[in-house]
Amino acid sequence: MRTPTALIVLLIIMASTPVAAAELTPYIKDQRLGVLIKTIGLPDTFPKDLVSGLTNKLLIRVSLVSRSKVVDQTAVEISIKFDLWDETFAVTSTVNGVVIETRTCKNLAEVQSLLSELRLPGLFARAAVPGADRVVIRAEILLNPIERERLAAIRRWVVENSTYTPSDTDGAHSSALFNRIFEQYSQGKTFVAAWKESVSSEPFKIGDIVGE
Amino acid sequence: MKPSKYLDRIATLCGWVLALAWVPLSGLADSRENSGLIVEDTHCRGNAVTSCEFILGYMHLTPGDRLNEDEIENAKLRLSSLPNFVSVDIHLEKGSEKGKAIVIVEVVEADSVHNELIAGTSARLSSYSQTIEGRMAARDVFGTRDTLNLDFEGIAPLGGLTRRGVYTRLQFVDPNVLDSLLESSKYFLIAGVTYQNTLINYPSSSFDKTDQLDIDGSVGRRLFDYSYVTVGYIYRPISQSVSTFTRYSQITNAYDVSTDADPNNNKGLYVGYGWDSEDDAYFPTHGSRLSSSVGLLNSSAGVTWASLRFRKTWSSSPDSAWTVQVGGTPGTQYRASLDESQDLSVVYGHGIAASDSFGGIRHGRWYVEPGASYYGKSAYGRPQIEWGLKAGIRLDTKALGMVDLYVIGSVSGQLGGK
Repeated sequence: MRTPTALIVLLIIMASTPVAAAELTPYIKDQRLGVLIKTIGLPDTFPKDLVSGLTNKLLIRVSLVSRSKVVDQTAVEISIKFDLWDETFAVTSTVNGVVIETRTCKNLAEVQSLLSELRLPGLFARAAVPGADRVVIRAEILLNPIERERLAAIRRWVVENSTYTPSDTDGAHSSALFNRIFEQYSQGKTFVAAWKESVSSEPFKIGDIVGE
Repeated sequence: MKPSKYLDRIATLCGWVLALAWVPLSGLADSRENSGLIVEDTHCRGNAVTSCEFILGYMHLTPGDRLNEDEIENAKLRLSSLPNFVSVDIHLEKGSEKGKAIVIVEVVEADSVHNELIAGTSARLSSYSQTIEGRMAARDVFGTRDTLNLDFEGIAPLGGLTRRGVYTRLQFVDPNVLDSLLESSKYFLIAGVTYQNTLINYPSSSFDKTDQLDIDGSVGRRLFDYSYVTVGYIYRPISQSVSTFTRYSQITNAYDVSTDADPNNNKGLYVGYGWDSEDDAYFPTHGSRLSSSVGLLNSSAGVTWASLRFRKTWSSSPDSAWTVQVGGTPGTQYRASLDESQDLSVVYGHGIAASDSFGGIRHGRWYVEPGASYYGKSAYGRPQIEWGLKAGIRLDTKALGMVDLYVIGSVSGQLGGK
C-alpha cells in the first residue's frame, strides 16, 4: 500500500498564524480609573472600511472584576465617520451614552494612531474599587455591533425569502461574515459583530496604580 | 462542598449572569442614524455573472431616498446570506454635489462551478484499495437557481480481498420548483440517474456484488428552519445484486435479484426526512445533520431499504471541533455524502489557516476519526466488528475546489470473545 506523497506534504501544513494580543493598562486621573488599550488587532479590511463614507463604530464594554465578580461596568463607543468631501474623519467618543469627546482627524494615519493607543479616561470612580482586593479590568471590543433583535429580523427574512441552506452545494463558499455573525447569534449573544476581541489587565491593587 | 463555597460560587455565577444581562446600551450600539445624505444613485461592482438588478433588489434604497445606514447594513447581511457571493461590501462615493452620495455594492462572486475531489487509501479487512471521487456542481445552469451535479467514484483494488467498483450520478436540483405556482419557496425538486457496479469481498468468503441503474425523481418541502421531507419515485431498469453471507461455516444465504426475471418489480416510492442545522457543510463547528429514507419498492426479493444517518458537532475551541456520527456521514437535503465513513465514529477536527500554498487555501481542517462498523456474524454467531481509524485533511482550495485526502485502516474483531 502506498501513501500518497501529497497527503504527507499537506499534513505538514497545520500551523496557524500568530496574532499580536492587545494590552490593557489601568491608570488614574482625577480620582477616576481609566484604561489604555494598545495593539488592538483590527481586521485588515478596517482601513478600507474607514473611508467607506459609512459610520464605523467600536463598542468597548469594560468590566471591573473583583474576586471573580463584576463590580462595575461601562460602555464606551467610538464612532468614526469619513467625510467624502472634506476627506477628514469625525471621531466621537461616548461613555454610557454621554458624549465625552469629539475630534476631527485629518487623515487615516491619525485615526490609526488614535486607535493604536486608545485612551479611555474616567471609566470608574476610584472609590468604587475595593482597596484591599486585587482587581482585573476586562474589555470586550466589538466592531460595528448589531443588536440581537435586528439580527433576528434578518434571520427571519433569510429563512422566509432565501433558498440558501448552509449545506447547499455552495455552502463552503458562503460569506464568512454571515457565518461568523450567525454563529454568535446562535450562541445567544446580546450583540454580535463580524470582528471582536477581548483583553484583560494584569491583576492589580488600586493603591499600586500611579496617578497621572 | 461546604455551604460557604456554594454561596461563593452562586455569587460568582450571579455576577456573571448580571454581567451578561447588562444592557445599558439601548440606542448606543446600533443607532446608525441617517447621515443627512441623499442617495443619488446605486451601482454594482465585481459582478460578472450576477445581474446588478438582482443585487440591488436586496437593498431597499433607491435614488432620491435619504441614506439610511441601517438599511445598508441590512442589505449587506441579506446579500451575504446568499451562496452567490464570497464577500459583500457596500461603500459610498461622492455624488454630483455635496450631500449626494452614490451607493456602491461591491461583491466577490462565488464560483458558479464547484468542484470536489476526494482521494483515499484504504486497508480495510484484509482488502487494500484506492478510492478516487469527484464531484462537479454547476449552479444556475438554467437560470432558476438550480444545481446540476455530477458525482463519480472509482475504487481500484491494490491487493488482498477484492474491493472494486464504480459509482456515478447525474443529478438536477431546482430549489424553488413551485415558486411561481404557489408563491412559496419551500418546495424543491430532485431528479437523477445513478449507475453502480461494485464487488466487495469480505473475510470468510462473504461477498456483495451489485450492478444497478436507478432513475429517480422526488419533490421535497422545507419545514421550519432546518428540516425537510421528500417523496420520490425510483425505477431500476438494471438491478442485479448477488450477496452471500457465511454463517456457522456454511453459505446459508445467497440470493440474486434481477429485473431480468421480473422487470415490474424494481420500481416504487421512497420517502425521506432530515434536517440540517450545521453552520458549514464541510467544516462544521456546531449544529447537527440527519438524513433518513425508506424505500418502498415492490421487488421480488422484498428489497426495501431503510437508512438513518446522523451527526452532531460541537466546537471545543475556535480552531477545533468534535463530531459524533452514527450510521455514516449524512447527506444534505440535496445530495448524498461522498465520504468513506464508518457506522459509528467520533471525529476530531482542527482548523488550518488560510494560506497561499497550493494555489491558495481558503481554509481547511485536519481530522482523525476512530470508529467501528458491523459487517455480519462470525461462524459462531457472534457480531463481527470492523474497528477502524481514518485520518485526513480537507482543504477548500482556490485551484481545485474542495480537496479531501485521507487514509483509513481497520482490523476485524468480534463482540463476545473469539
